[in-house]
Amino acid sequence: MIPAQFDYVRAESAEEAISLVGQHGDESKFIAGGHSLLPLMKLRLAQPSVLIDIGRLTDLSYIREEGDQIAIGALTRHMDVENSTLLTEHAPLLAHAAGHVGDPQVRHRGTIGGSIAHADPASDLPATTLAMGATYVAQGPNGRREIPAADFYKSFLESDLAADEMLVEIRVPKMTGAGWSFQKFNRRAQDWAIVGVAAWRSNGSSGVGLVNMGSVPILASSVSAALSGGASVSDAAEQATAESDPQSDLNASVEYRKHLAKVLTRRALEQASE
Amino acid sequence: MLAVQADGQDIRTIEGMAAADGTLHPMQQAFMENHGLQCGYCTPGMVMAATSLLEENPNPTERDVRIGLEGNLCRCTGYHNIVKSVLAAASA
Amino acid sequence: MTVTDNMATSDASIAAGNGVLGQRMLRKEDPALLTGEAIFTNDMKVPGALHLAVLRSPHAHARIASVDVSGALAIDGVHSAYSGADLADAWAGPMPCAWPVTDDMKNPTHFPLAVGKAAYVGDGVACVLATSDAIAHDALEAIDVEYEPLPAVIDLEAALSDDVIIHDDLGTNVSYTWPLLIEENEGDCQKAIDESAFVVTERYIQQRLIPMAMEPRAVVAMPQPFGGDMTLYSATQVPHILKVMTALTLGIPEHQMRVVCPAVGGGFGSKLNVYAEELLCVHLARTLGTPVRWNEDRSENAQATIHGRGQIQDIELAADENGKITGLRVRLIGDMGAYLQLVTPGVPLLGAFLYGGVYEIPKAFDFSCTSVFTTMTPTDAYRGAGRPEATYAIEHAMDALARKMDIDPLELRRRNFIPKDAFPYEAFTGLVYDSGDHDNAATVAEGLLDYGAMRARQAEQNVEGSTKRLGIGVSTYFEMCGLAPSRVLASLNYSAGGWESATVRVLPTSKIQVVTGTAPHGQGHETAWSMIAADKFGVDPADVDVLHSDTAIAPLGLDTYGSRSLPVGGVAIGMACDKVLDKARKIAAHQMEANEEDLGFAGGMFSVSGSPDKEMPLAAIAFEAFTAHNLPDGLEPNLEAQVTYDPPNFSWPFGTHMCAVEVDTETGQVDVLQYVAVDDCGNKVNPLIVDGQVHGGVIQGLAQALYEEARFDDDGNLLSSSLAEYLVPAASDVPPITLGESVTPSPTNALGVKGVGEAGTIGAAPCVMNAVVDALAGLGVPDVQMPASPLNVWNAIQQANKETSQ
Repeated sequence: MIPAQFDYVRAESAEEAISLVGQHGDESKFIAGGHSLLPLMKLRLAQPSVLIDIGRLTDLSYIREEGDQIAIGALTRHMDVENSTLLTEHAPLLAHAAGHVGDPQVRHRGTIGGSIAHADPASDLPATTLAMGATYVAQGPNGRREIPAADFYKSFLESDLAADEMLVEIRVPKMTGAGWSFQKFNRRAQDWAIVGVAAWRSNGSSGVGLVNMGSVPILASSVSAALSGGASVSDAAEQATAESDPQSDLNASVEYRKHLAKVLTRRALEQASE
Repeated sequence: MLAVQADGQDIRTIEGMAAADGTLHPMQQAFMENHGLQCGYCTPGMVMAATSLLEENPNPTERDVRIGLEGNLCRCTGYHNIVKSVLAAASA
Repeated sequence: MTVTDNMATSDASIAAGNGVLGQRMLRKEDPALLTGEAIFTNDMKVPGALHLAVLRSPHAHARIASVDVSGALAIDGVHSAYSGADLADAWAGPMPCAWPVTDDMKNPTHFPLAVGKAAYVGDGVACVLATSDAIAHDALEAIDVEYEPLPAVIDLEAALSDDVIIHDDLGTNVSYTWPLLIEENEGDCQKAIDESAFVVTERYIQQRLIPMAMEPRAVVAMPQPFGGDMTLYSATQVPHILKVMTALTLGIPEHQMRVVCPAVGGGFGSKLNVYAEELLCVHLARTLGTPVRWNEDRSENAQATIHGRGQIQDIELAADENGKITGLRVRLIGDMGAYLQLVTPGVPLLGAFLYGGVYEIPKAFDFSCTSVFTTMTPTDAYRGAGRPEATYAIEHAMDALARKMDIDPLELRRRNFIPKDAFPYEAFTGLVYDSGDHDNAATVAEGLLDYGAMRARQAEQNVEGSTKRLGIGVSTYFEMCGLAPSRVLASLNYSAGGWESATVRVLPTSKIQVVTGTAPHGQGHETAWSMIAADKFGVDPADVDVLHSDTAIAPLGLDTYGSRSLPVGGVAIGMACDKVLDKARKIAAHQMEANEEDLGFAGGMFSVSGSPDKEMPLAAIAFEAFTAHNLPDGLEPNLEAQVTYDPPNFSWPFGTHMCAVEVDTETGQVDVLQYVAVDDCGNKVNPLIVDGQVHGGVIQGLAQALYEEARFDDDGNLLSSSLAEYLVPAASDVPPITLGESVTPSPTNALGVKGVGEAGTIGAAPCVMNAVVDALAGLGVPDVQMPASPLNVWNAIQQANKETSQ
């Protein structure tokens, strides 16, 4: 439980952080809340030689209204996402899902940007923002670019972010008044989801994101397509695994995970349709 | 988190909870009065988490307390008296 | 019927002395623990100590072809590094197993570091000493070990087959077979099974559990190079046993060996042992003349500290047409793990006597346990040790029998209860149950759960097509506690006795010291033992200090495990107090020129009957005893007495647990809606502490039923090696517990106490599992594998669906 040796530098600005990562290259890692990275380091499964602390970039901690979107700074803590009145009004699905990440300690320290950049298919917020059709903003040496969530997740723990890029903002469309549901199924409240479903419905549109149903967060497009085609909620839910490729682990077989995805999708859609 | 990440910040630990004259913090007192500890190893973490919980939610329900403490494990008490302690501290 | 949470502040049942006993007195231990003042072993500041780190085998079963530590030695800050072979001559004897249950038991030679072969993932193969813990861990990565991997042995029945032999020199994986056949006439058990109206034949798997005390193990060995003494600080439950065993294993003269336990953060049996790291630290500290320390990390704790449970239980339970039990056959396969630790082989034996539960069982009992080696972490005593397994088997089988007979499981139990007026009751095993009132315990639990109403609600809810099914669980138990009468231990081949020692002294200023051989690690002995002495002497418990857990201060003792501390150690304290009072009485009689027989003692004051003006407080007697200016002829100065108490019998706590669960049949999720526990541990010294013990025990038992399992892959890797995978439940995952009151004093000891440390754990696992199966019975689910995880529940439902559709 003792990490290998590493150097630590604290960035005072996003630009400095990006320049530091350019300087140290592949051997360096950003650290914000540290709740994904430090456990891996303690088990020596990750051994970065330099940690670049971006946790003090308070100018990247914000939640603000920008037209028909809500912009969330990457260093916004889960707790602040959960308790944001702006999000509770316009994107309650995201606020609610943030309240289910880990435990209170994780929610106080962990950041939405860290969770998304880590690209863990078992994490709650990647699949939730994917379901919402979010856009992520990355900053690199040559400035900022926007990446649709649907293009962001490449493979297990791999995102579209370049080594010298940093995730700086998450933009979610306003869904004021939309029906929504977040179904997280796990054995203990603090655990990663065995399967999770984030869903919304509004005016004939819908979005369904699946947690832990493949090597990347899954957008269950077939479910939305079925709903658009007039299928009932329970029939549409049967399509939940069309895009999935889940693994088995201590808590679930592949068959059981697929079954859970369908049950939870049905429950989520029922709740989102109320 | 890493200790270095707390550089320049205020840190509150169990050692700083009781008053200078030895009077226990109300949360410590509540744990004592409700037998909210046995071996005591998880106790500093429980007391600090519970104190933080009440700062954010001064009137929690039993369920709020259980969820608020989900990041802290205890092997001795079965949590029953820990929850009771925190509720007692909230109504003190 | 009362709920203790709503009770007045005392239990009248243990009236004596100054009324302290039975009070819900707050704990003396708490202020230090609540303020960070308490020192746990790893909190100790030890200037100049070298840090030990152990390199552990990544293979479950492998020949160690070579170990090269030169890479580690090249690292700055590394003091030295050793392979198992380097230290092979350091040990005066192998790691101790104190319980050779049969004369021909196979016990593989086991050294602190493996030599030649590693037998589980986590088996130590080399170690490093360095100036910091971090450097020591860096250095482990620089040690080069060449392994020749061999097949892992994970499955108990595969182990029995001896296809792969783990310990070559033994020639078999079977450690021992221990039978317990109790019949009036030969063949009675078989006859009962052949001829009874009802027989259930069941197989239960007791999954492996990881004790997971919150404080991992920690060791500091402090040598006194010139004096020759050695002090071992260890997070242990057993300082006295550890002292003797360390002395023997390392060839240190016992009088030069001292063991101290600083504050200990829970044990649950996992710290009832003699561990490799303790011996390594002491040996290296002694050889080098430098303090050596070691601190276990969490995944090491999961791999290299003992596991619990791990049994396959085959049980056949026979009953007549009324459900009255006629015979019982039990076949166990016990998973010893890779080696025998301190009491590993004895664990199934502790359960053997409890397969009859709380019931009248005829002498038609056929038990046998065959224990095997596997390439997994050694098992040993974990909270309840053998007794929860036995209780689970009989209680789960009773439910299967009730289903087969289509009668209420509570009713079936009542038909078999040993009646209240039969106590003391000589059971079929020959053991005598001290006291019991099972019908009362069941009735109290029944009332608290509102059993009848819950059954009605169940009938309403569990209709065809319902996906939220209600289940009701009932479990009763008898527990064999107060370990243990030494002669009984002898008959079980245990290498030590079961007595406990107490010394009580009244200091010149009349403050009282109690020295105990028990070694608390969360149980509140300082508070409870103070109350016992305070009651005897009529003083405030604050005026009593309890000294423990340091073999230099409390040289005699057999430590804390097996719910023994109060019924053996606490009783010894009461006896030592009486002995001191006898002496004080002599002095008082002398001082007041009265006859001893005419003296009364109450509220800390000796008085002479018939002479109201003549009285003398204990404080004055204590000072007289100290100055020794005017003592009766021949009486030694000072007020001090030592007692060693060997209990004449086990104590027998009992109880009934009930719960209601709701099972989501679509997901397999089990929610515990309500949990009721009625645990009768005889008289209560401090009900506050008793309640806490039950709460914690219940949740540990519930955790076995729903959450916890040490899982290994086919290659013998522990998959649940962190708290992310090994699911110790948090507050949000468990229900509140309603406690009911039942007090049946033990007639065996003067305090009337029975012990309570393991009770909750024993009742809870079968109670919850019975509820889960009860919920699903209407779906044709015969049983669910523990833990009743969503996956296991869902699989059981799928299996039942398949069988129904066939």
